[in-house]
Amino acid sequence: MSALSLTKNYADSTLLFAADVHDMWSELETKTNGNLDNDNVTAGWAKFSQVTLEKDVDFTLGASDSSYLYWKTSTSDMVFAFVTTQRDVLFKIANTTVMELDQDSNLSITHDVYFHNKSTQYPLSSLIGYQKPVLVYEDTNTVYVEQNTTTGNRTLIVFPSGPISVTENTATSHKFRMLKLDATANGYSAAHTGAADSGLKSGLTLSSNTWYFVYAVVVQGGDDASSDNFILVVDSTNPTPTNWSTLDTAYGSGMWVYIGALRYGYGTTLEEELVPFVQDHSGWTYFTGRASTDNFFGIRLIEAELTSTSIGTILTLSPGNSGNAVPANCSHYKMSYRPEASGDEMNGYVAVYDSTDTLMWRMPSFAVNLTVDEAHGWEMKLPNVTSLKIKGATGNP
Amino acid sequence: MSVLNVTRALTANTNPTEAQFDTMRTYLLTFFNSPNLDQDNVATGGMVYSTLGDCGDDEALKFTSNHGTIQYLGATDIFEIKNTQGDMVFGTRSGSTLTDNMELDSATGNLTVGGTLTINTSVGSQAASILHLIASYVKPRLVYSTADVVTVEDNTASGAVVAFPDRLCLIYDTTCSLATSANGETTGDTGTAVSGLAAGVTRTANRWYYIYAVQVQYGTQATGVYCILVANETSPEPANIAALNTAFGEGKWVYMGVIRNGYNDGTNTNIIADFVYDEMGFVRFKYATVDNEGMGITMASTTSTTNLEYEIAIGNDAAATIPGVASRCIFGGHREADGFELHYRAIDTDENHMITGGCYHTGTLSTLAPVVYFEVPLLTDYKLVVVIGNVSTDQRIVLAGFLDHYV
Repeated sequence: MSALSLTKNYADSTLLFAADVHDMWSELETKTNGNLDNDNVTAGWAKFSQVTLEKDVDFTLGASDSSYLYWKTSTSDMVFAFVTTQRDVLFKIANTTVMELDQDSNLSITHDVYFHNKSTQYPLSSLIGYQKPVLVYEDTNTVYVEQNTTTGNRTLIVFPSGPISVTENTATSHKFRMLKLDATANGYSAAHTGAADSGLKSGLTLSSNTWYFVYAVVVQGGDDASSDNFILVVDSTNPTPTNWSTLDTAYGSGMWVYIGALRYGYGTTLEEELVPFVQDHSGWTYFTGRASTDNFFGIRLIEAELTSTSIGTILTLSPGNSGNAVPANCSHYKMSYRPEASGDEMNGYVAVYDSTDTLMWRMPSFAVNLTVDEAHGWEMKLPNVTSLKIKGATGNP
Repeated sequence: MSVLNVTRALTANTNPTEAQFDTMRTYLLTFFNSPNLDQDNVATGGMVYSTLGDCGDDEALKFTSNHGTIQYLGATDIFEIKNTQGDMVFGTRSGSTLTDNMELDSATGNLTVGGTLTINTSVGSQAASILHLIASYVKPRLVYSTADVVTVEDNTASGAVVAFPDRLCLIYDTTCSLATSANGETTGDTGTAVSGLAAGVTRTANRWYYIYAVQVQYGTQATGVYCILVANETSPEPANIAALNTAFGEGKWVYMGVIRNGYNDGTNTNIIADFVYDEMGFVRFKYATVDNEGMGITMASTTSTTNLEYEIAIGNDAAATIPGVASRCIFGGHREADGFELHYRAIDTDENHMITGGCYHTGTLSTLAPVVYFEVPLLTDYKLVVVIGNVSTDQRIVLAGFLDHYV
């Protein structure tokens, strides 16, 4: 306000009249009521805590009027902003700048970034070079994810929603890192109650000669949802992009990570069980088990008797989740061919043709002194395309 | 407040009485001496913040909605900026348009940055955008140099940089010799950092040596920005992590790869086997030291009329072992002449084949010396077999390469 004058109309020799008092008091009221300003108070005259900042109003910091605080009612945003041009914003601890948002909106931090409530022992920089854990076969009922940290029995998985690690000794427990095929998974839905468990997705039963897909899913319901955990869930839905919305619906967006595929059953008429495997970090899965009646490893796609010296189609391969097919999330696979130990088939051949009947590969000749049925051509890698024809014939081609 | 309203009760053209003045005086004293002044008394925009006193500990500066507060928490010495209702936005406004430059999302807690995110600018050897690191960081690959020395390739313009759990470190000495002891990773080390054999480790013929980048923690280069290469006989498999933490310090080591000292061929037993690592962590041995008999490290050899067998032995305690870091291996088989098959099969039964690969036609005895390879997973209780007829010939099984699971 302007300076208070309290005009004096009287003198020592005159009487003080009411009008004089009225004039002075009126001026005092006028200038005090709503007109006090910076000129009238001493520094520190009141505390900030006694001040409430009006919402939807700029509160300017600095004489240049370019930076301000703002509460935006329409969006409930608390805003720290500059007018027109971004300036540097410094965050200091003990007078040392530890974080800076510069004029190009780059954020520089003198140390690391941690994920609060998301396995804080793993800062952002430790995730450089992160490798998703591989699935490990334990027995026909059990698989688990490997330890991929330097802490014993701890597995770290980076979900889109943040990194989560669980520490569990699979020798004594199988809630998080280890799944049992005879258990039903629990905890992947907010509606779940009780202790978390890894296993088959609710409602899923295993069918013979079918592929299944293992997902790590953030525990979102039940007793173990209060802290950061994940479980392993076996699903019949493969992780191809067309299924992402289905998986989001089942597990929540950003709450699942695909780990790997399982095969239940060696092939038609063969044992119905989980096929042993080893998986490596490059995404390859090798089957290390065989059906009891076979002497080669892996899944039997087809068994056929070659009866003609003319080339004929034995099998048409297309991506699929069951039977003699390879799931669509596998980009390519290795195929072997087992000739019978004696007879014309031994001198026959197998070839692969694409959908236009163009020859892609022909099985090289094999030994003539075979005494057992043996797998050959293991190193043949085939692309998992819509239609591949496997053809064969007896006798030399 | 209170609006100032002084009751005068005066009569025109008369002197105020003492009592009237006392009443007015008392009112003014009460008005100004009690903390009654508030926003009604202050001109809008008429006061700068600097004239206000400090906000005390645990006293919040707040917006009228009480959802947004700025506060110092005395008990924990934490400066807290809080929005209980919505997002926290650091932005730029042009006209009525607010552009978010950095935002803390209230629903997810996610921090969104309009530009790049750079971390650890005060730690390690260099500042680096986390986006750049995630997109393009490649651990420096091991490179064969000489019979005694392995080095690394540069992965940045500044040299070979290794990402540790808490920082980036420049490799101070990229020459790791099996004829030299490392310096800088062990308590009591002084002077210049040197890459080499780990403390207490000696060079032995036909053994695997696991190479680690270890932060220099002692001596001249112990500034927190450098690391060296250390050769150790201990692999980085989970069972050994505690031992490595003890040797090098937790979070102070990063596995780089494994090298082989000695071909186990009876002649070249104490030299580094030449190799190449690819970007996927697959190491391949480049040379055959016995002519025509296959690239890599000899696992078994014989001259016999019977099949040659090699049972998988994982470890580092004998010449014919395979390191446990291998997840799948390329094996080679050789027969001097007459053809053969190379089998990979379970030890317990000769009918439990994983693969019978690369057969060489035996219908007509050939004078050619076949060498064939296949790639198989590394499995205990398995063996490789060179299946021959009954003619005595030289036979050999070699390890030609493998995928290193931990690189």
